[in-house]
Amino acid sequence: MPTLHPPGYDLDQAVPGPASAADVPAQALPEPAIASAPAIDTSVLDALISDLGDAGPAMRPLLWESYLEDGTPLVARLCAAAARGDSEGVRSVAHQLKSSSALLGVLPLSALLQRAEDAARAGSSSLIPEADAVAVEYRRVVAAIAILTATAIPTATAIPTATAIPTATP
Amino acid sequence: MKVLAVDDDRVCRTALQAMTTSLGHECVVASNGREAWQLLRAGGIDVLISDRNMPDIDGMQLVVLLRAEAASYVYAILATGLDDPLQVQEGMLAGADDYLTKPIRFEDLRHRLIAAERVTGLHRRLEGLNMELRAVARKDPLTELGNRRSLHEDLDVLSVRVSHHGHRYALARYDLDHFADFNDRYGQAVGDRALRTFAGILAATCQTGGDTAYRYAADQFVTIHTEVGTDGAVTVAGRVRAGLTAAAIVHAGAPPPGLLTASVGVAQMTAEQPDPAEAMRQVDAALYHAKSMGRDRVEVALPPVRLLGTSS
Repeated sequence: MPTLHPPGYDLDQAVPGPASAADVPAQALPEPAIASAPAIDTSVLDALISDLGDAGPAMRPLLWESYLEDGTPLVARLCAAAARGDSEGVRSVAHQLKSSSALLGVLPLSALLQRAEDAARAGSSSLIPEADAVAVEYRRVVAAIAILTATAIPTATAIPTATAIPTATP
Repeated sequence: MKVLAVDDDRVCRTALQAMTTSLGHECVVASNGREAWQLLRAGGIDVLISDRNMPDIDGMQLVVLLRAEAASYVYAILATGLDDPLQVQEGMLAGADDYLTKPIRFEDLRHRLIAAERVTGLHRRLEGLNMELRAVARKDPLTELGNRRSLHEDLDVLSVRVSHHGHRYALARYDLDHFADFNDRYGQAVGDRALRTFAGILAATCQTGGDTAYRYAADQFVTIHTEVGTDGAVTVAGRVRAGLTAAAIVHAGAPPPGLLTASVGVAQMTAEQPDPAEAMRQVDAALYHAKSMGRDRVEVALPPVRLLGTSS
């Protein structure tokens, strides 16, 4: 099992300021196949923006802003649910974030969320690996969005990985 | 069309609203099932696009509620992130008209809304035709007053108001005197013209007081008077009979001065007596009494029935 992060690990520390997404350490990513893919397939959102016509351009920053504002606490909730062994909590959060990720072209993260959702539905004994993978990939997404939008990354609340959260059952 | 987009995820909801709007439709949004149900109950929504999986009231439950309680047809599309034919089938069986797989793609949405527009258009047309049909079914074709069916439907509604809210209504039943003889003498066409003239007098008199007139049978008519006792109905009956006198419809078979006249029976529905069938029995008895007392008069059904009006 990969990981990983000592207690108190601050997710924000893994997201460099104006750096590229490639700066995220590859060894932190549990799935090399996913890690090698771009965090965001920009053609997906480009197509949607184009479909929207005149209203499209204004939607792009709005959608990314909403995604980050809602995504950060959702990932935190997912990790917390995994840490306490709450498979239903993991399933519902993964399901919600999966749809918006796919909509915006955040495809590797969407795939990891699908995996977490499937594992939760299958009654997996520990969902911590899946949650950690989501948290790590989400950091890569945040960095990629910062580059895409050419804006500073919002000071997000630190997102502890599931591993970093003390668990009820060892 | 007015589309309601429901999703607990803000990004999906915002994108769906933008896509729907850019396709030329008005789009309102809700972030959960309860909020959506409130908007649906308020009416005016043509199409519902709801996420299948939401906390609290989910998309399936929303569709079930919609089909059980919505007054008019709302085209329902369930959006699901699961590529699960069983979930789709469950949704369709629950009352959904169509489904979309998340993430929703612009072209998929366009196609679904084309179908939705066609189907909702047909439903609106059907609702309009039903209303017309209902109006026709309640109207007497000769006089254009309400017919006997509409009278009984309205009496049932009024009976509830009387029983539960303490309202009161007076009823008057009119019968044109010697009308069979009138038809025999002048023919059906002249008889119909006389009926239309009398119906016009009734309608005009009732309109000013917010009352309602019906053709009950061949030459019999009923009026309903709101929030008055029998005195109010008697006053209106006086005006109607005066109008008939002024119309001066010649009837050689009638007593001098040889004009068409009407007899009237009056009764009321009150909290003590809210039964419309009993009110109709009383008004019929009062009319019968008016006839037996020599016609061309108004009688009020009160226990005991007493004479109020006489020939004018």
